[in-house]
Formats: sequence, structure tokens, C-alpha cells
Amino acid sequence: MRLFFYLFILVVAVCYTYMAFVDLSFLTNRGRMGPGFFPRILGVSMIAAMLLVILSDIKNRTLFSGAQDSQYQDAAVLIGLSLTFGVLLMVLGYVIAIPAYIAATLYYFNRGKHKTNAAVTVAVPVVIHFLFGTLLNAALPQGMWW
Amino acid sequence: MEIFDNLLMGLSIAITPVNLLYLLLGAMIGMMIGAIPGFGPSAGIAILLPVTFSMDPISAVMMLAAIYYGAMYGGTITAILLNTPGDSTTVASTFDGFPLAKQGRAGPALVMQACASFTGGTVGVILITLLAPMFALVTRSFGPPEFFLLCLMGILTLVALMSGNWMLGLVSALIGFALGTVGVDLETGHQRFTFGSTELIGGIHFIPVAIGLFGIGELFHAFYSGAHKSGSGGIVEYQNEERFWPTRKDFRESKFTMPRNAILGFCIGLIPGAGATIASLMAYSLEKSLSKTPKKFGHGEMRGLTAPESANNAASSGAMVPLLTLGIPGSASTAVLLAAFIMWGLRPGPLLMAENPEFAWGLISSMYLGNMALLVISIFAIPLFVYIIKAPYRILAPLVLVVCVMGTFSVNASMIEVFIMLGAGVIGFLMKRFGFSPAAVVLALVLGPMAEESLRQTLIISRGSFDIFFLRPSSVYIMVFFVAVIFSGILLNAYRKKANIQGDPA
Repeated sequence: MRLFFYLFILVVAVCYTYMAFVDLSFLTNRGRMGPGFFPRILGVSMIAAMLLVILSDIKNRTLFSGAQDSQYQDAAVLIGLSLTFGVLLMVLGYVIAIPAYIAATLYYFNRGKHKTNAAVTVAVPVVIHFLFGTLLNAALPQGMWW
Repeated sequence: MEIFDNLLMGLSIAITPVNLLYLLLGAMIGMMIGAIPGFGPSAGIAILLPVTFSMDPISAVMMLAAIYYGAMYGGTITAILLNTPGDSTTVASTFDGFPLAKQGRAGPALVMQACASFTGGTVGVILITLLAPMFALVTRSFGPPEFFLLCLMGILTLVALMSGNWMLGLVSALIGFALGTVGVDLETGHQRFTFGSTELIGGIHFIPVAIGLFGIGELFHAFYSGAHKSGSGGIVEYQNEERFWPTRKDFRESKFTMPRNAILGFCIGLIPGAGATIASLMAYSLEKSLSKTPKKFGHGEMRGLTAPESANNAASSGAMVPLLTLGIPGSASTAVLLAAFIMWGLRPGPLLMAENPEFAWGLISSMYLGNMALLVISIFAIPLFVYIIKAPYRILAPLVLVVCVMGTFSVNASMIEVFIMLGAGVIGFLMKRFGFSPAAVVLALVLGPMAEESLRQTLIISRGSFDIFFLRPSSVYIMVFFVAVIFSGILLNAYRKKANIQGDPA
């Protein structure tokens, strides 16, 4: 997992640097700092630092640590549910997305506690609506179809 | 006398019923957040930042500041009762706090930590009152070169003081700087890394990134580490019995411990990036070295609890000085506070105290009141916080996530920002997992645009020459100070490694 994360950062850094060199000029026509001045320095530094980190981990033999880690399962489920919640929120709005997300999360992580889960599933959307919608008069995601 | 006049003016602003209500609310929420293991003040402020939008700016910032120092109080409750520090800043409090609880002295330990936190917080605010105007006066002569150096200093000190691999800290800071370059370049009007999205033209907003990295990232990490599987296992039962109050001996032993470590904590807190964690550990060591019975430390010595508590609260006050007078946040929590200031149209820096005295002094005055309120709350509401500690993570998690999502959306009614926040949450979790520093990302995201702008202005003034940094006395002083800070940072880091403590400055 560590290796994948390092590679992900490295790839993003390479893409960032590529765009900084191709799309953005280092200096303006007047010879001042251009839009690419900072990004180019940052991009190159990021690639260099990331390569050093990877080399150092290879040297210390820690690059592949945690690859067989089964602890990720619950975190991965929560991340998956949370991202699905984001999509549901965009499409269906908060009225449906919040209870659906809370019910699904509690169903998975708090098994067997049906009364507690039901109470939380009903209470949270009401509190959120009251807190954000009524008390703070803030915008709430209504979804695409409403 | 001018200071007292200003302080009275600030008090008259802070003491209005509405402001007092928000102050108390912030203090309560801060304590609750601090009491939840893993949630530090930065996560608390970031999560609740959007909730303050409809408020008056002074009330909002008073409430957020109260959350900040309230969380410092709350973090110790878990340290004493669960042997689990609420945040890295309260690690040192577990050394003697938990043994005291095991001896049946949880009540006296909780009261004494409240008194120590109060002393630290109050001494810290007194020192802010005395020093902040002087700092502001000195920094008024600062120009773009000095601000560029200060931005650089803030972030590099954090990296230098980072526990573990400093290279990972550097990468984290570079990621934050890179995120700060998204949007329109102010000099040329050229769009950078926007991919044609109109929502990214204004840049990546700080709030979703901070909420994601601190709030959501912590949540995912708690599930990774299995915190959701345990209930309230291991808690030492707090009993509201007659031995609740500390003895005279407890107070007598700690009468010098609290003020001296408050001063130490404040001085450490002034250094950008140093933070309350180091302050509390240094205070513990100092107290142990001054004690005639050092062997008692680690086995339930009251001074071993009051020293770090006093220091970490004073350090959180100390970190406010560079924020208020320079506009440079020294920690992740003060970076989130800076975002709140900017959101309300206030520009912390040398001119803040001159241009917005009612705000600056209102905030400082509110900190006196907040510390008093926290002393009372933390003594009499301990059973409530114990109840919160017992709430299982698996139920809290979806609630916190929903509040984070709705809060982020309410800022600009933007779903893109919700997805940025969720993405930042996943990245924050992996960063924490692999030893990167989310705090450095956030700090660099705030300081990056400021650094770029001030460097640009500097090079315009100097017509492209970098010699300007060596020709201006203020710049040279800052560089000398910077070298001294880095050097002391290396020493402090070595000290932390010796004490075998992990954790970023909060």
C-alpha cells in the first residue's frame, strides 16, 4: 500500500511538473515572475523529494511494509460508503442521501443494535435540517432531480 | 496604560450576552472534541468552521478560539481516564495522569489538570496582552521580503520539527504549496491547473482541504486502527465521591509548577511549528529534573500532570502571537483559525491591532473569560465528558462525516468542494498512515499563495535581484532567527526522539 501511495504522489508530481513546464511560462515578457515560476520549482522539488523518499525506503526495506495489511477492510468500507454518500447527495439530495448513508453505515458497523440504529437514522437528518437549514439558513444539497 | 484601556474595550465587546453564549458554546464543544481520542483542536475548528457562517465575525472567531483552547482542556480527560491522549499534546499527561486515576485519585487529577490548564491558559493570555502589541509594533516595518521569509520559516520549521521522516514532511509541504498554485495567477491572469473548471478558477479553498485532512482523515484512520470496534473498554471509573477534590498538599506542591511551566510553554509556543506537544514534554522533563523526588514521576506524581498541562495550554496561547501580529500561523490549528479570520474579511498581521482593535482585543479579552469558563466547565461537567468518551466511534463516525459534508457544502453550495473534501479525507488518512504530515499540507496551502505574492513583490522592488534579502536589516535578523530556530528545532526534535513521542504540532 505504501508503494502505491508513493507512486500515486510521484505520478501526480510528474503530471504537475509537466503542465508547469508546458503550459506555464517561467518569466513574463517584462522579465518578472511568470505563472510557472513557482509551480516549476515546486514540481521539480516534489519529484526529487519523492524519489529520495522511495530510495530511502528501499534502502531501509520499508517500502513494502503493510502490503498484506487486512486492517484496511473497515476503513475501505467506510471510504466507499462515504464516496457513495457524496454521489447520492449530488443526485438525490440530502433528504434521501443522509438517512440512506447513516442506515447503511450503522447496519454494517453497528450490527444487531436495530433500535439505536433506527433512532440515529431518523434523528440525524432532522437535526441537520434544523441546524443548517433553519438555524443557520445555509444552503443544503437538493439533488439534481428535485 | 494603553494596554489596559484596550483590554477594557475588548472586555466590553466580549462580555455581551450573545458573545458570552458563543464563547461558552465554543468552550463546551472544544472540550467535547478534545475528549474524543484522535480529534485535536485543528479537526474541531475545521469541522465547525462552516457552522459559524451566519454569525457576527467577532462572535464566530471568539467561538472558534474557544474551541481551540477548549480542546486543549478536553484532551486530558481521556489521558487520565483511558490512558489514551485525546491529542499528541496530552501525551505527557498520561505519564502521571493515568497512574493517579488507577490509585483512585481520578477526581483530584481531573480537578488539578483543570487548574493547571487554567493557569497555563491565563498566564498565556496575560503574556499575549503584554507582548502582542510590541510584536505588532516591531513588525510594522516589515515589507514583502520579510513576509516571504516568515512564510518560509513557518513551514520549514514545522518540517524540521516533524517527528519521524522529515523528507515526508517536506513532500507534504510541497503538496500544500502545489495546491495553493491552482487557480488564476494574479500577476498575469493566466489560469493554472484548473482543467477548464470554473469552480477551480478561484483556487482550491482551504476549508474543504482542512476539513478533509483533519476531520475525515482522522475518522478513516480511527477505523483503520480499529477504534470503532472497542466501546469504552479500559476506562477508569470516575466516581463523584467525597475524595473528588484535591488535597491542600496537591495545591501546595504545584504552586510553582504551574506558573513556571506556563511561561516555558508560552515561549515554546511562540516558535512557529514547535507546538504544544514539545512544550508539554519539556515541561515534564523540567519538573522532573527540579524535583527532589524524581522517582515518583511516572507513578502518580501530581506535578507530573500539572506541569505538562500548564505548558500545553500556555503554548496554545503563545501560538496566537505570530498569528495575530504577523498573520503567520505556527501550527495546523492556528492555520485553520487564520482561514476563519480571512473568511470574515480580517487580515491578521502587523496592522490588525491598529486597524481592527475591537476585533483583536475582543478576542484576547474573550480568552480570559474563556479560560475562566473552562475551569468551571471542566470541573463540574466532567461526568458529561466521561459519557461522551463512552460513545462508540462506530456511531459517532457517520454523524461527524455528515456534519463535515453539510458544513463544506454550505460554504459555497458547491458539490465539487464536497468531493475535494472527501478526496482530502482519503489522502489525509493515507498520509497519516504512512508518516506524512497533513498539518504541513494545510499550513503550506495557507502560506503558499502568501509566499508567492510576497516573493513576486520582493523581486519587483529589487528588480529581480535576490540580494535584497541580505541588504535589509529586518530580513537579515529574520534569517538569523530562522537559523537559530532550525538549530533549536533539531535539538528539540532530538529531545522528542529521546522521549520517544510521535505527533505533529497541533
